[in-house]
Amino acid sequence: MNYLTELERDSLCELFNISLGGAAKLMSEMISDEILLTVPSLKLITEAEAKNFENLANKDVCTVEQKFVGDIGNGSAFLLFHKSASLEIVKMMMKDYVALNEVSQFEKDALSEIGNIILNAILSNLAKMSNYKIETQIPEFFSGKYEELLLNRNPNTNEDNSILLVFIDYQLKGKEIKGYIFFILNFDSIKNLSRVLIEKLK
Amino acid sequence: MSQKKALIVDDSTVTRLMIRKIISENQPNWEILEAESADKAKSILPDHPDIDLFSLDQNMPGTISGLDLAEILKSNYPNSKIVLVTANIQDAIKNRAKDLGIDFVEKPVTPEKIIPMLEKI
Repeated sequence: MNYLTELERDSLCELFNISLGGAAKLMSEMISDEILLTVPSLKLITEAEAKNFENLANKDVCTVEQKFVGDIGNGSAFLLFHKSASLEIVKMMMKDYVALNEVSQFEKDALSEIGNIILNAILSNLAKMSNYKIETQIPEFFSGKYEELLLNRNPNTNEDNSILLVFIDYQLKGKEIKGYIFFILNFDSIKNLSRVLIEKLK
Repeated sequence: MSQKKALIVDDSTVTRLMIRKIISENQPNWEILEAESADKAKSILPDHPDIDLFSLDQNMPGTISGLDLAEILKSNYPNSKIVLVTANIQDAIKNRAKDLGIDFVEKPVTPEKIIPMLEKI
């Protein structure tokens, strides 16, 4: 079984927490509301654990996937919302720009753009802190059952235990809306990334 | 004074709509064109030699990026304002924009970020 030392785990949490801070700020700018980050907000889980994840298993979800390539390794980042929350988020984002009854037309495009902005911000911050170069591709939007999306999007399902998901959740103030961010990266890449801060501290 | 013209290049309909609304509320007389990729934008340039403001996304489907398009625009539209409006906020992208001498705006777009660009034109 792959594992991280306590120090590696802590360093990885800190890298993602810093990156996420910037992403939360952007999200609150977009929807004119305060984002509450749950701290500690990061878990490394196996694919099997991810599939059975309590709040998401069997749920209809919308997700935006941002594939990336570079020194960090090749992987995917996902921003994920419950289907029931997605329209609420789009309403908050679009309220100054279109009439309320037109909002649903923009659901896919608006969520894609939110995903694009947030996931790029996180990846850009990771690149900056690690001195790794990361190239991001065009984000893709999917909607459907959580398990199917997760399974279908994972390129390495046959490699047992080789994929870890970095899990972060955040909450919008005063609303019952939760968002989730997943990173699918192979274990070696995660291990390398976790050593970045440790190396800097030496 | 002749009518000013802006071209918004972004694959996101929502972002194009937002930028269009911010410009048209601030400058109601401007003509606003849109393109959903840099390739598409490039193909309509010959019909519009008189564009005053370009708002360019960086990552879009197609063969060229926003910065690639900016390079073409720098020589063809030496007096126009070019702004890169992108979610890709890596230093490499910022530095390339700086080297080209174009402005850089981090998404999400807000009136506070876009209006100062209009006032300088």
